[in-house]
Parts: sequence; structure tokens; C-alpha cells
Amino acid sequence: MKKDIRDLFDGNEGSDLELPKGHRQEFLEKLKKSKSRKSKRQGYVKIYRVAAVLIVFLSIGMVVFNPFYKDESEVVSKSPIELQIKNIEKGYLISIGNEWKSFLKLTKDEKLIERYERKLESLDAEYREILKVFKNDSNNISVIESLIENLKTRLKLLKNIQAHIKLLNEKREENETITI
Amino acid sequence: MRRLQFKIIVTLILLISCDLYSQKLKVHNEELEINNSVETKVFLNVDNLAFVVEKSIDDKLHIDCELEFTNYTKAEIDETMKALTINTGLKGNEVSIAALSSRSIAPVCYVLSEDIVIKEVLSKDEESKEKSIHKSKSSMLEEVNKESIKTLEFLNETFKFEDQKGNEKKVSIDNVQVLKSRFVLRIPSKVKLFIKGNDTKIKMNGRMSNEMDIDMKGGSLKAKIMENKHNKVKMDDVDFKVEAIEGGEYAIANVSNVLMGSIENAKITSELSEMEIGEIKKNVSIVDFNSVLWLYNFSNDFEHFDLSSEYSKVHFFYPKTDYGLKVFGHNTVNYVGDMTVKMNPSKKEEKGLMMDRKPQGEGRFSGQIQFDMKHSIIHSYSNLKLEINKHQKQ
Repeated sequence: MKKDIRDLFDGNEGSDLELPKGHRQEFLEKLKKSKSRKSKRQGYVKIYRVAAVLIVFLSIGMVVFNPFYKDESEVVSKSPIELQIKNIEKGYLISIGNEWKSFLKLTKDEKLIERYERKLESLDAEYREILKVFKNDSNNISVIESLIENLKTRLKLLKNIQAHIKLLNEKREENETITI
Repeated sequence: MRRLQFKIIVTLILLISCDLYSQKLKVHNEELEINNSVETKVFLNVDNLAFVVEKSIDDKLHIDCELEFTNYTKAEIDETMKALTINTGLKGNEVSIAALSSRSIAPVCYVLSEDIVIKEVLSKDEESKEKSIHKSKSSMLEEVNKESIKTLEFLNETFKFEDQKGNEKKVSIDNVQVLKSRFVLRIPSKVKLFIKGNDTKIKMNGRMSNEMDIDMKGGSLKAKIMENKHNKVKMDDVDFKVEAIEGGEYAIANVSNVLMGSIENAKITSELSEMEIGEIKKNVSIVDFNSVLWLYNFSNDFEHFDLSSEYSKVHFFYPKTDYGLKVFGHNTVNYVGDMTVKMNPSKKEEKGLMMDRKPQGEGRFSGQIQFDMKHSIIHSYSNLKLEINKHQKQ
């Protein structure tokens, strides 16, 4: 049923009602209470703000100080360990090159040279394979050891075969048979 | 209010601790019903992982794989798991297991943190092996069984580390991540096992009587007893330690550390390796190119031992019981005690008799040894009196 809103005030009902005594005081007290509730809420907000700041700082701290965190930019450029391995590799490759030259001067056995050439090539191919693993797992000690071991092996092989040939080349005049 | 503070503290602690933690993960767990017969074939294809192989006690095939991460973030664990795949298949009498990882996972792996780098590789005494000290079979077995898992102390002895500022620093649990793996394959006693490994560490527990066909490149193979005359083992750059080989053919190349407690009824083809044998038993032959061999002991019934070599170095300790010996050489030097005997190279590259010992007929005859050598060096060790006949002047 429709009702005109103006009719509601027609009778002026309640217009002659008086405000109770002490209403002002009562209002002020209510206002005070509401203020204290508000200040409590503001206190919580402050704690949340402090917690949020703490979390932000801790997160930054974790990123900056966490030794296991890897920054994207670091991944793109060479990490200290990669540079270190590069240096170790450079040193070994120079020595291997020198040993190879002196090995070639020492022997004329084409079969032996060919076999060593093949061997060094296969070790080099292996090294490249390990390097691929190293690129994704550069701080893994086993991978680093494999890389260094590969270089060491090449150098050791060349040194050992030269010592062997030198020993065989020592001049001895007679052939002998030992009878025990 | 206090409750809220507590909640905040707990949240913060969780936030910090969830990043770095230690965690064990089951990667794969499976058992397969198969026929325990020689007709059944098990193919294990492994890349960059470590596997323990042993006999199963219930005639089923079991695969259990577990990883333990320390100091790894959740993301790093996920990354490692992503790099790892394990697939199994059963078709008729054939089981195939492929366990592949693009990352190297040893039984224990150490990964350096970003704040520590290798400054120097400390060189070890590489010539130490050249010492000609006799080893008994039991001391060889001790060496074979020596634990080879690397510790942090070992790393500090092998490398010199420094921090980003260039100060010397030791590796400790604070600046490394540790990844432990335990991948186990248990197989019934009669099935034929095929292993194809690439940079893989295989450890075989107990007596393995299964017929095995092993082809490995890189990594290591450690075994107790490999007992099957049909075994075929091919290793390239694989650290090989075994208590006893009883039958089979072994091709060993580029292995700087071969330790065998004893060997019998086996053929070895080797090159560019360093191989120590604790005891040579029945029917063993070696064909070698440019390796260093240590033949420490012979059993008193070895019957015959043949060595054919080129550019090899042999440390040869005479058998203790009666034996026969013939050494033929071309461009070969033989060091016998304080004496040096050489067979100079001939134009026709013919080998001449360098050393001859006929059985003395005293005590038990253990067997006949024959060396056939080119461009080789022999170090013979004996207390026996020698008589030298200088003849065959060229």
C-alpha cells in the first residue's frame, strides 16, 4: 500500500517531547568511550605497520645476506667460481700445450702420437660436456672436481709418457737374458 | 594484544625459517614382480646419479630413491627435482629403469654458497703410487673397502677457499649446501643385469652372481665380488674398486685408480690406466697399452698368467711358491733389484727373450708366467739370487 512520506510528519507526533536530564553528559561519555575504542584500533594498526616494515626488512635482508641466493644478473654474468675455474683452466691448458710440444719432440712413433692425440681430443670433448653441467650447477664441488681432474689427467698423461720414453731412450750397450 | 604479538613473531619465524631447511624426499619407490631366471633382463640406464645395487631377499625387483637436502631453499629443491627423471617399464621379461639427472648427484654432494670461492687447488703427491712397496692381499682389501665419501675436511684439504674479500675461509656447513642421495636397486639373484652409466657412481653390495653387462663412462664402480664367467664390463674413466673378480671380460680405459683384491678366470684389456692387483689367481690374462700395473701376489695355484703390453710399466712381485717365468721384450727395460737389463729395439721390431726362469721342482708348482712386452718397463722385486747371462749381442 502506497503512503505519502509527508503524511508521516503531519501529526507532529513527539514534537512536544522533552530531552531527558543529563543527556549532554551522557552523550559526552559515549563519545569518550568511542574515542578510546578507536585509539585501541589505531594501536593495532601501528603494530601491523611495524610488523609489515619488519617483514619487508627481513625479506630484503634474506635476499642480500642469504649466501645461497642467486641474483638473476649474477647468473647472466660470470660468477666468481666460473672466473676462478677459467683461470685454473687457462693455467693447465698452457702447461698441457707445452708438454704436448715436448712430447712431439721426444718420439717418432706415429702410432703413439696418434693414440695420444685421440686420447687428448676425447678428454677435451669430455671436458666440454662437464662444462655444460657446470654452467647449470657451477657451485657443485663434484662438478668442479671433475673439471679439474680432467685437466690434471691430460697433464699427467703427457708427463708420464715422456718420462717413460726418456727411460727407454737411455743408451745401454748390450741385450741380456737373465736366468733365475 | 599478547596473542597478536605472538602470532606476529610466529609468522616472522616461519617466514625466515621456511627458506633454509633440511628435508628428506622420497623420489621413487616401486616394487615389481618378475621371474627370477636368466631369461629376465634388467636394464638400468643412469646419468649423473649414484646407485646401490644389491640382491633382493624376496625375488622381487625393488627401486627406492631418496634425496636429503640441507640448506636448500624450496625453489632450489624444486629445481633439483625438475632436473631428475626416473622412469620404469616392464615388458615381458624385460625391465627398463632410466634414472637421469642433468645435475650431478653423488651419494653426498656439496654446493658452495655465493660468498665462498676456490682460491687454489692443492696438489697431491701424484708420484706416490710409483713407490714400489709390496702390498699384501689383506691390505689391498682394506684399501678397496675404504670409505670414499668426501667430507668437508677432505674439501678443505683439497682446495683453498676464500671469501669475496679475498680472505682465506674454510668450508663449513654454514657456507655449503649438502645433497645426499640414496638410490637403491634390489634385483633377484638370477636375472641378467645391464648397466649403462654416464658419470654414475655404482656400488654393489655383497656377492653379485648375476650375469652383468656393464658399460660406464665416468664415475665409479665399487663392488664386493663380481662372480659370473659371462660378465662383460667396459669402463672408461671409471674409478674401479673390487674385492674379487671371478670370471668375465673387463675393458678398462683411462682409469687412474683400479684396485682389485683378487682376480681369477678373467681377461683384462686396459689402456692408460693405473691398476693394482692384490692377488692373481687362476687363468688371468692382461693386454695393456701404456698403463702402470702393480702385480703384488700370486696364489699358489694360479696355473698361468699372461701379460702382453706396449708402453706399459709393470711392478712385478715374484710368486712365493715355485713358478715358471718367461719375459719377451722389444725396446724394454727390466729392473731386477740393483741391476738393469734392456732389450734394445731391433729394426724388425722382434721381441727377444729377456728373462727365463724354469720351475725349480721344489715345493708346489703354482703356475707359468709369460710377459710379452714392447716399449715397456718392468720393475721386478725378489730376494732370489740371480744369474746373468750376457749373450745375444746384436
